[in-house]
Amino acid sequence: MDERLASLLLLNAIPSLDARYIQELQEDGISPEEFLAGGEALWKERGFTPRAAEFLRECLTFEWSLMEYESCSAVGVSVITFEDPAYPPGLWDLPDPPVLLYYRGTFPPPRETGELIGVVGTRRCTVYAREVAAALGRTLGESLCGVVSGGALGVDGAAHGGCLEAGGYSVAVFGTGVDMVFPLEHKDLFNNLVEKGGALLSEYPMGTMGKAWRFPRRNRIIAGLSQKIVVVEAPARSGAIITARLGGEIGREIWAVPGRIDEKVCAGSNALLAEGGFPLVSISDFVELLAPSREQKLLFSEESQENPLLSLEGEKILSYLRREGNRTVDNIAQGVTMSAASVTGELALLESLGMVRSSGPGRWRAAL
Amino acid sequence: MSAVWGMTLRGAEALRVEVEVEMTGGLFVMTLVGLPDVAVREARERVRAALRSLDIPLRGRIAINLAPADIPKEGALLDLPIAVGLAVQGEVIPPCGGALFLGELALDGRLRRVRGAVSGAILARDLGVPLYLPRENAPEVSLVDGVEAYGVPDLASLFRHLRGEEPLPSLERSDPPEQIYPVPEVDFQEVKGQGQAKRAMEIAAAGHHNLFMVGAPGSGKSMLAKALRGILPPLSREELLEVHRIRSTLGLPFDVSPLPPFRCVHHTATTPAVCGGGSRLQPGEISLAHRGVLFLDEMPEFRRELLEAMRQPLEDGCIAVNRASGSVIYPSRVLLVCAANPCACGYYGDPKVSCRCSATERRRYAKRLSGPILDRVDLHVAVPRLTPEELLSEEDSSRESSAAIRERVLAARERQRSRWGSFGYSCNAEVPEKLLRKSMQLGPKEKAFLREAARKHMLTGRGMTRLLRVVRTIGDLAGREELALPMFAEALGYRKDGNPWMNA
Repeated sequence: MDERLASLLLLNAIPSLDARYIQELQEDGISPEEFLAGGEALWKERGFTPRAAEFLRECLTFEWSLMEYESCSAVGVSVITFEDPAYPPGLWDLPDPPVLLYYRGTFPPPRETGELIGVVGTRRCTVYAREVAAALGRTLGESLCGVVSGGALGVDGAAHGGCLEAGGYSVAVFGTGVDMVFPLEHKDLFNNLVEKGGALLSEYPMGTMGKAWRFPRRNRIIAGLSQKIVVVEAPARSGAIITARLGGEIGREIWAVPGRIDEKVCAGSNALLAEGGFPLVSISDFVELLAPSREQKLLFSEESQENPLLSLEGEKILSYLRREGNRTVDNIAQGVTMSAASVTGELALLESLGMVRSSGPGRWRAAL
Repeated sequence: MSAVWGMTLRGAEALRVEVEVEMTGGLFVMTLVGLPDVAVREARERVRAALRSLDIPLRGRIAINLAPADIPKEGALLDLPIAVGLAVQGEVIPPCGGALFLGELALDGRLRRVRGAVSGAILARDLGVPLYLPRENAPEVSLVDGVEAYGVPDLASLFRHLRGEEPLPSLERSDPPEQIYPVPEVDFQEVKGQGQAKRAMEIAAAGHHNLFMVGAPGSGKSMLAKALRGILPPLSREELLEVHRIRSTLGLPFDVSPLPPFRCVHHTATTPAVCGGGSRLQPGEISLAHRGVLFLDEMPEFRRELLEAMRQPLEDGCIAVNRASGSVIYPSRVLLVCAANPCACGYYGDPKVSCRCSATERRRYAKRLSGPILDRVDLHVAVPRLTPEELLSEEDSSRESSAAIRERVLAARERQRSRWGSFGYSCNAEVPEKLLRKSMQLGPKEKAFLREAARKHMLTGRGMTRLLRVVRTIGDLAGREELALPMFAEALGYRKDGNPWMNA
C-alpha cells in the first residue's frame, strides 16, 4: 500500500474533513503524508480540535490505515481517491467533496452508460410510488442511463430493482460502511447490484454503523453523482428532500413526480413542484430527454391490446381499469357486467401477463 | 350391599361408576371414598337433605365407595346414584342394578341439569340399560338413538317409578325439525358489495376449504365470516350429536337447530382455551367449532405457539388432549376462517385513509402473516373497504340470499360425496393429493397454463395442490366434471401471494 493512500484513508476517517481541505494543504506545500508526520502542533495550526488530534495520534500508533486497507482487500472493496482521474467530476460541484470513496462492484460506470439519474424518495411510500420508481428505474435501465439512489426500503429499492431488471447500471450510496448490509431486507438486492455490474458506494470507513446524521450527509454524494434528480414521493421532512435541495444548490435539475395533495407522504415532493421543480408527468418523455436516440416507448402502449393471450373479457377489464383507475372487484364486475368469479379469474390472468396490479387490499389498476 | 350405576366424565367420554353403599350401626357419619372431587364430596349434604325431604332419614355409619377407585370422579351428577343407593340400602325402593342414574340434587329433592348428558346417553345405550336423568337434560338425549331414557323431575317421582307405583313416561326419540333452516344472524343479502369475498366463501363452504381474508378495519370481514355459517350444509343428525356431545360436556345450552357452530376466538385466548385441556380435560374452542366455523380475527395478533398448536388438529380433524390426569381425543373438523388487517394501522393501500406505518413496521407485520396456519389455507381473498360512494352505489343492486348460495353449496357437496364417497372422503379439502390429481384429467392447454402459472408466481408443490383443490371445487359448483381454463384462472386469483402489494 502506498504512503499516499494510507494517509488519505486516515484523513477520510475524520468526519468533517473533505477533499478541499487536503487541496488547501497541498497548495501550501504540505502533502498529506507530511501533514500526518507534522505532529500535533501542525494539526492544531490547521484547525484540528484536541479530540481529532488525539484520534489521529492513536490511529497512527496502531497503523489503522494498514488494517483498514487489509479489511478492504479481504472483502473485495476498492477505494477511489479525489486524486484519481476516475474520481467522479460531479462531486467537485459539492462544497465538501469526499476525500475518497469505498466501493464494491463496477465504479465508475462503464463508458457506454449515459447520464446518471438520482431517483430518491421516502421509505414508507405508497404502492403507487413504488410502481413509478420501478417503472422509472426500468425505463432508465433500458435506455442505458444509470440510477443513483440510497439503497433504502421503499422508493430507493424499487428504483434500483427496476433498473437491475432492465439490465441497467445502478449505484447505491450507503450511509454506512460499504461492507454493511442495511436494511437487511435488501441483502439480495445489493448482491445483485454488485454481480450485475452495478456498484455499492460509501465514503465511510469499513464497518461504520448507520447513524441518523450520516444519511443526510451521504445524500450530498447522491446529488453530486447525479445529473438530474427525481423525487418520486417524499413527505415534507425527508432525506429525499435534502438530496433535492443539495442538488438544487449545486445546479442539478430537480424533477418530482406529482402526488395526491391529501397524502402526507407526497407533501415534500409536491412542494418541490410548487417551488419550480420539473414535474415528471411521463416517464417516457423524461427518458426521451436523456436518450433521444432511443426508440420511444409508449407508457400505455396500445399494442398490448393485440396480445393473443388476452381474452375479450380481459380486454374489457383492462380498458375499464385504464379509464377508471383504482377499482375493486365489485366495481369492475358492475362496470363490465361480469360475475365476481370471472372477474377474479380474468384479473389473475391479466396479473400474470403483468397488465394489472393490485394497489391495495382488493383494489386493482392497470399496470404502468 | 347394593350397587347403583352412575357416571363421571373424562373429556367428552362417560365412564361408568359403581356406587356402593354400606350402612352399619353407630353414630351418624357419612364417608365418601373413590377419589371424589369437591363437588362429589359435597354431594353428602345435598343427598341427605333431599332424602330428608322425602322423610327418609339417614342413620348409622354410612360408607359410600365410588368404583373403580383409582379414577378421579368429578361433578355433581353423582348426587342421584348416591341417593338411589342409599334408598335401596334403606329398603325404601327395591334394588335397581342395571340402570344408569345421573343428576344433581336440590335440597328439596328436585333434579338439576348436569353436564355430559349426551355422553351419558351414549354410555347407557352401549351398556344396554335404561337411563334416568334430570328432565331439563331430556332434549339433548333425544338425539341419541336406541336408548331407554326417563326424564326425572324430582326424587319422589323417581322412587314412585322404581317402586312401580307410577311409571314415568320414557322419552321419545325426536328428530330435529327437518330442513327448517334457521335464519343465521347475518345473511349474505345484507352484505353490500364484496362479490369476490362472497364467491370465495361459497367455494370455501362447498369444498370445505380454509379461508383467509385481508382488508382494512370496517371492510366487513367479521360480518362475512358470520354469514359463512349460513351457507354451510345443515348438520345431519349424527353431526348434531357430535356437536352436542362436546357442548354438553361443558354444560352449554342445548340448541336443536341444524345450523353449524360458529366460534370466534379472541387473540388473547390461551392455548388450552383453544385446543382443550385443564385439569378436567375440557374441550377447547377448536372442538366446540367442530363441524362448523372457527373464526380467528386479527390473526397476526395471535401468539405463534397457539397457531403452532392448532396446526395438527386442523390437519387431522381431531385433537388429543394429554395431561397428567389422563388423555382424551376430541374431534376438531373445522372450517377455519382467518382475518387480518393489511398492516398494523390497518389502512395500507386504502384509497381514502393514509397508512401511518413505517416501512419496517409493514414488513414486520407482513412477516407475521405467513407461517404454520396459512399453510393450511386454500383460499386467500382481499376485502376492500368500500368508499361511501361505492357503498351508496351498491345500495340498490340486487344481491343473492344465503339460501340461494346454500342451494349451490349443497349440490356441490353432493357431487363430491358421489365422487369421493367410495374412497371414504366427503369433500375436496380432505382428499389426498394423489387421488385428487388422478381424478383430474388435464388437457394440454390446462397443463401449459399450470406450468406457466407455477413459473410466474413461483408456486410450490403445495401451492399447486391447493390450486387444484380449489379448481375442483369451482368445477363442482358449476356442476361440471371436466374443468375449463377459466376455472383455473379464477382459482389462481385466490392463491397465497395474491396480495403482492403486501410485500412492500
